[in-house]
Parts: sequence; structure tokens; C-alpha cells
Amino acid sequence: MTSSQSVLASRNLVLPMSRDLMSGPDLPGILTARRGPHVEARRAVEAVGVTVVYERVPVLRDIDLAIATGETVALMGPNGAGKSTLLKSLVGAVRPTTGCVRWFENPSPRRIRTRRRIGVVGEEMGLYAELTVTENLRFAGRMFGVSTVSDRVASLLVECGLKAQADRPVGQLSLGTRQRVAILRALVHEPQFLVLDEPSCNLDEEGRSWLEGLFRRWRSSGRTLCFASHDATECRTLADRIVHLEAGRIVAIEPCGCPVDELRRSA
Amino acid sequence: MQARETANSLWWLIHKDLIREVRTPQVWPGMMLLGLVLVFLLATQLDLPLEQKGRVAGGLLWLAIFFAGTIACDRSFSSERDAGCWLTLSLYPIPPSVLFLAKLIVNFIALVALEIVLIPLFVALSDVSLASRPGPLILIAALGNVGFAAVGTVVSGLTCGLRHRGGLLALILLPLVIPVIFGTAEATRLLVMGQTDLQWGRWIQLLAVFAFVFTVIGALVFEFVVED
Repeated sequence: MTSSQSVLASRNLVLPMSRDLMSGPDLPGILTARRGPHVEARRAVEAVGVTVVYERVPVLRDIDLAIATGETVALMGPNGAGKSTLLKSLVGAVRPTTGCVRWFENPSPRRIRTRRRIGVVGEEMGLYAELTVTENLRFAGRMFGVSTVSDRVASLLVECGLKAQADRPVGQLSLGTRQRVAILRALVHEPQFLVLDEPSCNLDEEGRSWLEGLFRRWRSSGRTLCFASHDATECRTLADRIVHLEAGRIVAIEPCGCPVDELRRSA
Repeated sequence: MQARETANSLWWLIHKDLIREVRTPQVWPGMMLLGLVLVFLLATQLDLPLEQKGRVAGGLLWLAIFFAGTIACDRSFSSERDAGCWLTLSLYPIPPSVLFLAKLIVNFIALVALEIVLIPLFVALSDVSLASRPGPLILIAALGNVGFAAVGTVVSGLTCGLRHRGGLLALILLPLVIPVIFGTAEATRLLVMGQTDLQWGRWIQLLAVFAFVFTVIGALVFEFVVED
């Protein structure tokens, strides 16, 4: 038993690792039973036997994971556990060495139609330092084919409290503000599935509280969320399930989070 | 509708790269400086009678332009990676061929800017009458630029993900574009000698075919070229 498993076992959190539990036909039933009939139990994304090998070193090993529409899943694990690679595999940025990933029951996450439904904040923020906040967001909106991109960007900036920074080059902003802009960039096309790699790093207390509010609104609107984090409290507060990774394997899946009805009331 | 969206994406990708370069020049100053040094050395050290000078001038000029142009191609994708924008860019819902074309066009524009500076300087320093017939010279430059930029963009995509890629692009790119350098040099030599006949037309055809083939191949294979 690994160290993570030992810790989780002491809290009765280690779950049997069967493919049926995570990605098999039982998953929609499990979710519906736990979260109520209002949650659409279609799979948003499904990784089946995903192994990723970089320069002969296996980074992910035989990962089976299905995330249902409307579900929030957090990935936790030590550095090098494979969280970022798993997120990249889920969004189609890394092609699995073996296994496959299906999005919205499509065979490939690389399809343009599928990509329009996904918002991603990676390890790196993906912002152009020479462009202003507005220009970065408008560029992303135009790439996603958002028709009223100026209005959309203006409303996002107001909502996030970044209107005063709108015309400043991103390179002049603090890391926390850049992180917020990166998250807004992922939201500009109103995706159905949001994937974030350590979204709260660099954020101050106010930023974390903004992010928490965003996650809660996101969940209550029935959209899907998957994020990686080192913050156990954040994961347990915001996620339906925590997937614990270690050395490229899923070592445990921890059910947690508050019911969606409660979140709807608080949002 | 889809064609319009694709054209919009193409335009905004080019616009973004040009705005970034204008606000924080990273590529063009180095490229210009290398081009200027090469042209100055080659033009001033060419101690030959004017007729013989005209025979070799085209080759030297294009060699200088394309050698300096490797800097522009080298930064096509590495600038995205260095800025931490590659993942985001690769996940936008745009066909990889559009990304390839946008980078190709930005490289083409960089080469045009380089030529606008270097060709008049070369003519002034060497006394070779390159600019007496601007139309055919522009045709040679345009076809040469497309061919060079197409291969350069593909090679840049291939090498940008490598950890130790210093100088690798030039090592791969320059042998691949020998037909372009040879074609532009020969077409320019014939132009200087006033022989824009059938033989000149064949060199132009070679440049056109090279540019077309590598643009099409680049657009088709680009998805696999830039994969992690």
C-alpha cells in the first residue's frame, strides 16, 4: 500500500479500483443516485486505459476515469503524480501512448466542435505579456468564434472586478491578476466543461474567494468542472469527487462535496 | 460561414503576432542586423568586374536574405512556447492548417521587410542593376519567400518542442531550401543579364512548384508536426 493509500485508508477513503466503478456502465447510476435525478448523468469525458509515456518514462499508467456532465472532480497528488498530464490528456493536448479519451461521447477530443465546449487553464497561464487584458480576452474570444466578443469581454471584466486593469499589458500585472485573466480567458466562450490546473495558485484571499464563488456558480448551473489542486480543503469543499494520483496511477477516489441543491441555494 | 470564421481566425492570428513584434521587438531587430552585416560584407568584398559581379550577385543576396530569415522562422513557434501560450493556442478550435498558414504569412511578411531593407542596400553598395526591372524581381522574391517560409514554418514546428534545439533549425532548414536558394539565384542572374526567356521561366516554375508543394504539404501534416 502506498503512502497516500495508507493515509486515506485510515480515513476509510480507499475505494476498490475497478474499471467498472470508474468508467463502466455503473457510473451514471452511481452519480444519479448520489446527486439526485436533476443531474444529467451523461458522460462528459471518459479516459479508458490511458497510459502516457514521455521519453520512455511512464507518466500516466492505465488511467480509467469517467466524469459525468454536471460533476466537479478534483485531482490531488504530490508533484510529479501526473495531474497535469492527466488534465492535458483529457483536453486532447497530449495523445495517450495507449488507451483513449472520449469527449461528450465523441471519439476524439481533437475535433473542433468538441474544443468549442472546453475551457482550459493550464500550468502556464497562456497569456501574451505584450497584449492588454482586453486584447488577450478578445483574441481568445475570436479564436472561439464568439460573435459579440467585445460585450462578452466587458461583462467578464466587470464581473471579475478587473475593469480598471482592462487596458494594461498583461506583462505589467501581478501574478494573481494574471491568473484571474487566464481563468476569464477560459470562460470567454462559455464552455460546458472547464479544466483548470492549480487555479488557485498565485491568488490572494480575495482571489480565492472569487474563484470559489465562480466554482459554485459553475456547479449550480449544471456544467462540468475538473481541476488539479494541492489544497485539500478547497477540493473537499468544491468537488464531488477527489481523484488521488500517485506515480501516474489513481490510488483512490474520495467522494465528497455538498449536494448540488445546497450549492444552488448558496449561489 | 465556416470559411469566414476561418478567415477571421487567420487574420487575428497574424494580427496578434505582428502586434506582439511591434510592441516588443524580439525577432526583427536580430534578423535585420544579421542581414545588414551579411549584405555589407558580401557587397563590399565583391571585387569583380561589373559583368561578373552581376553573375554572382543574386546568389549572394538571396543567401544573405534566407540566412537572416532563419531567425524569423526559428521564433515562429518557440515564441509561443516561451510565452507559455502553446497549450492554449493548440487547443483553440481552429484547424492546424490555419495556424500553419498564419505563421507562414508572418514569416513571409518578415522576409518582405528584410528584402525592402537589404535589396536597395545591396544595389547601392555593389552597383549591380538589380532594380532596373522590379516586376520580375518581385516575382522571384515572392515565390522564394513562400517556399522558404513554408519549409521554415514546418521545421520550426518540428524543432520548437526540443529541449536542446539551438541552431538545429538552420541545420535542417538550409539544406532543405537549397532548391529555393538555387532557383532565386539563377532567376536573378538571368534577370540581371537581361535573359528573361524560357530558361528564366523554368526557374520561376521551379520556385512556384516548390512553394505550392511545401505549402500544401505543410498544411496537411501540420497537425502531426506540432503534436507533443
